Amino acid sequence: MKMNATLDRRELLKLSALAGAAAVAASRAGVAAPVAPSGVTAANPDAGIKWDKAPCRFCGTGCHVRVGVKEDRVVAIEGEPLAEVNKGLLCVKGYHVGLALYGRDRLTHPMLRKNGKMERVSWEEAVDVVAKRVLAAPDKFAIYGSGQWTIPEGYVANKLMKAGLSNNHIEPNARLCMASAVTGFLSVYGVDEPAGAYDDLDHCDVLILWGNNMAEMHPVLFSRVIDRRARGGKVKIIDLGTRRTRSSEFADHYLEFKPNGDLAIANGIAHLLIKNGTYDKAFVEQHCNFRQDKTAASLNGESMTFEEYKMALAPFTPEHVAELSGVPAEQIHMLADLFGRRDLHITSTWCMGFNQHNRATDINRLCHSIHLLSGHFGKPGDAPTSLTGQPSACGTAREVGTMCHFLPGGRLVENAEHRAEAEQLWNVPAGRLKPKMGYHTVLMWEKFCTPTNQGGDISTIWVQVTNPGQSLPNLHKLFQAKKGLEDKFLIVSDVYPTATTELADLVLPSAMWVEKNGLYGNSERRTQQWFKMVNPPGEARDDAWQNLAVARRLHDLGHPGLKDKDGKFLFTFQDDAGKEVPVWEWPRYYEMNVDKVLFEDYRRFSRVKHKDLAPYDEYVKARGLRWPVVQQADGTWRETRFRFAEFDDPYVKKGAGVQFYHSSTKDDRAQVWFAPYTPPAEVPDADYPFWLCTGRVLEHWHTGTMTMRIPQLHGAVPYAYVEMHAADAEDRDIGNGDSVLVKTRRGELRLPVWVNGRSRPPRGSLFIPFFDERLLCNLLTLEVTCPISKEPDYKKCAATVVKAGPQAGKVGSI
Amino acid sequence: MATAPSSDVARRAKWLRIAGVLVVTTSVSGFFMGMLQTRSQLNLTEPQQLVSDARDLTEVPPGGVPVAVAYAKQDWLREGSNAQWRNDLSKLVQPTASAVPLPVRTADERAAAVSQRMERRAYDGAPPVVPHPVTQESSASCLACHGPGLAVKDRLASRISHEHFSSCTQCHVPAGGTGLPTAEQGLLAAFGTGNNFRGVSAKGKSTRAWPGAPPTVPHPLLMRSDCLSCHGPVGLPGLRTSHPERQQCVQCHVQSPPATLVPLRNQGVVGNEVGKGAAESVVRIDLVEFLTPRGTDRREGRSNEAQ
Repeated sequence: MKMNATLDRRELLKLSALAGAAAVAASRAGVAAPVAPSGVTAANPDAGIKWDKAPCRFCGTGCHVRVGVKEDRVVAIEGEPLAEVNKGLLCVKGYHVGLALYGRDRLTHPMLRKNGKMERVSWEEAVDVVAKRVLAAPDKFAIYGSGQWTIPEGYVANKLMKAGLSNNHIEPNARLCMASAVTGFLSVYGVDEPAGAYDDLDHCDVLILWGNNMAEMHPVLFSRVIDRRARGGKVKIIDLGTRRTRSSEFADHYLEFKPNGDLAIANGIAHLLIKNGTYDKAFVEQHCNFRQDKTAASLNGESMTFEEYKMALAPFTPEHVAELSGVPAEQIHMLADLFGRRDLHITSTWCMGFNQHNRATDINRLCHSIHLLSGHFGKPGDAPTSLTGQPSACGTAREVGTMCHFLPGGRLVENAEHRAEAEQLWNVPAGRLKPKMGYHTVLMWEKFCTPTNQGGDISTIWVQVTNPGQSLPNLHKLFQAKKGLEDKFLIVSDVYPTATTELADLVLPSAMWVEKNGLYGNSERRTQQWFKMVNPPGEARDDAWQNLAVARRLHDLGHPGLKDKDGKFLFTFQDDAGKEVPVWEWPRYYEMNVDKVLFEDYRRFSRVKHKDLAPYDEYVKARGLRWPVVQQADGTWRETRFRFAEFDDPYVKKGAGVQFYHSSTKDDRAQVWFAPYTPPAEVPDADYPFWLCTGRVLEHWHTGTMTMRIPQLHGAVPYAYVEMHAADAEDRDIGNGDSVLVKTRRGELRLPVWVNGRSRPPRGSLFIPFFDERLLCNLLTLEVTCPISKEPDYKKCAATVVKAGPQAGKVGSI
Repeated sequence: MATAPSSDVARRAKWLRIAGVLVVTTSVSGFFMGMLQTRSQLNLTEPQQLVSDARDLTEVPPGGVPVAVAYAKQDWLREGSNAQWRNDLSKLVQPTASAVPLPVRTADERAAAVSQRMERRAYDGAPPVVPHPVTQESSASCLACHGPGLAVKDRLASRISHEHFSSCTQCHVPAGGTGLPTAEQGLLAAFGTGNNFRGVSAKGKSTRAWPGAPPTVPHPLLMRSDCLSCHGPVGLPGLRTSHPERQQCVQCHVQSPPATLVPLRNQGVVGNEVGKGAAESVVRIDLVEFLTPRGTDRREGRSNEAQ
């Protein structure tokens, strides 16, 4: 034993010397070398590492990770094998999620713009500045949050705005992302969020990706399918897209359609199902109504008969669809034949291709409709499922209802009954909640960037957990126009300097991810909980605390809305012993579990739409639970995987088989929609001959504020680029890596060209990823929205490309 | 009489014409028949082996003659100075398991292996970055080398240790960027001001119950269903086993500390089972079905081959 120990020491010395040399060599080679933690001295460096569970910080898939913590720092990450979502697997972002905390330029103290310069201020002063801005003009104050808000954070902000300030100007960035999926679900089923679950991916025979590059954007879910195939499972993958991607490489069929051709394809499938008599007559007769928007676009439209529906579909012959979409008629037949078969299970997935679409609600409706029409619904493997891009777009933005038209639990601000219920649950006087919808995202920013004397009636926006300075469309108009408007005030709570903090007047440093307690809700209705594991750097503090501190300050400054019916502060917190804790005093915030109190308060809202949530402590034990989570006779809590299906959903009447118990027509039926084809809002012409599409890459998450600071991810894709077809490049004498100017009617951007790169756009088509804050592709995009969901179409506008000489100016645009 | 010779001439001329027509017809049809014969000899009703590459011609089918390759199919790249170059990776693939004992590794080799591992990972357990450029649009090409594993002199392409995961670039990304050149100096600069994450370093040495006892496995087995990926002939020299002929690694080597028992603060059970089982203080992660079956199959398959 003694000899072994000696050898160990000697070898360890050698190892650390070599490791040092390796680090030097690696940094010279431009590869980031991990640095050995100073504390590693024993033969077993695992000693002292505490492991805990958390959902991943990044996308809406909702993988669980194990977080290894040592000496108040995250030191390792593992995929959580106990999690049903990812079963131990992660993607490269997930494996490096711990590094997102340790960018050297973390914001560590509040900063206020004084005479044009950002100066450090105390939290005391910062909270005061926010409260006074609110008090000065309560109706011109807005909160712009995100699908990365934890559920309690979103809940506090929502309650503060709607019940405290009687102000509905609260929006999440999910408006730019999931709003169209919401209107799709509401208009088809009468209630939001998918009926199916990720289990469908394990059971489907056919997986259809509708404009969905799942291999890069939801890689763990994609692997769930292709790994099944690799182990002998039979599944056919059909990729419908406007450019070839990594997903196409794994697909059995790649069907390339022209922008907005998806509308034609969906109608073509419905046309053939009816014409060939292969639609599911029994399912349709029992469970479906027919609807359309006869005149104007609206959420619920008008009813139509089956005969009218047939007539409306009549023009969508495969040949006509081929003309509109560019997909050959035989492939339309192929899709219709698959949907016409009862012996196959078909799952459809989509994400931003559908949702960021000038006809987004309609294309969502059509996809649900062909599943309903063909009866590919309500059985494991048969599901139309929208995927989300943010970890709590569902849990916070949609379920807590942090949108200008929602109240918690799927209620609407315009519905008097819903307002009365919320007023009662919040114990505020009747009439406290305002019946008028607030401004949706695009309108909110437009009003903020418009001078006050020209109708710009939003004067202060508090941005939390998001980066609109990079992610809004048409940035010149909707964000950068704020510059020079003296009476407008931008407050930004974030963890790093971003394109948004550039224009901020007050910057508040936030705690992130496992630096705080939290709950997220993923794409498959799964609510997930985690505990704080490490302390945030410097003076960074929880977003929920920031909201509570401002609420308390408003209360103390005498704003009447911050008191409930009984004259008590709107937010009260009692510890287990029943003693009130003033958690708005930061040193006392973690004296108790604030998240638990807020979640239990919020949970009371979840029943009305049968989105039942379990008590907080159940989520502590589980790796997430999918609502409705219903208590059983023996006191245990049971989650629901397949909604509206009798075999799994306890709210379906016995014997009904399938029951749409929140039907908008109150007859337990879902709505099959007809929606015509129309071209995109802006189409290429002689001046702007190219389509421009924007999106993401696997290595970076959204605006890249976290992933660009992770050496391994930044190293893999260090800067944005524009992808174009080789023949288009050749025509313009453009070579790989050459600098070009991409121009639209809204702006121009200088960046390198990538020909035959990761994805292959067809001729006449460009693609730019939006992660790089130095190359803001949203200076080019269009702010046209879906008329129903108000979500912008980032996926198609007209652009032109010209070769830029090496001296044509500096890269990017700001 | 005057007509007789002329009619003779006419008859002869007619015969000649007929003969001429016959000759022309026969030769023309013969030409095409000949061509048909060539096609019929190729036996078009049988599936043809497509000659896609001139180098296929070196393989003469059993009992046959080499098939001529169409000019269009000639590999034009094989002109000039690199004509002899072959991208024939299959010929380079090493035997998966050697029956010959490998040379005993040295402490220097092990230190080199550990430092290489540290260079390519953010922390122990992170997926290694790829130290070379990759094909961006597909991961199929990864498996050309990393499927079976490859050793060419001292260059090693380790064998995949989790075979059924086929989207390689989901977890492994190139350290050197996309390979897209740019003249824009601004884009080549570092982003932000760096990252001060300090990951847990390489796992320690294994332990032995007594000198000569089989060493324990000092790392988790998650995503490591094939021990020979690192410890086999195409692993780094400092990590190789001295006895690759023995296939059943876990027969003698067990995990220490028992890494399959990872204590968690929030233990518990998942999904529909929630609340039904008593919460355990430790959770067995080797019970998760997703990660094991393929590895088990492979090990069995290999030992069958060895027999």
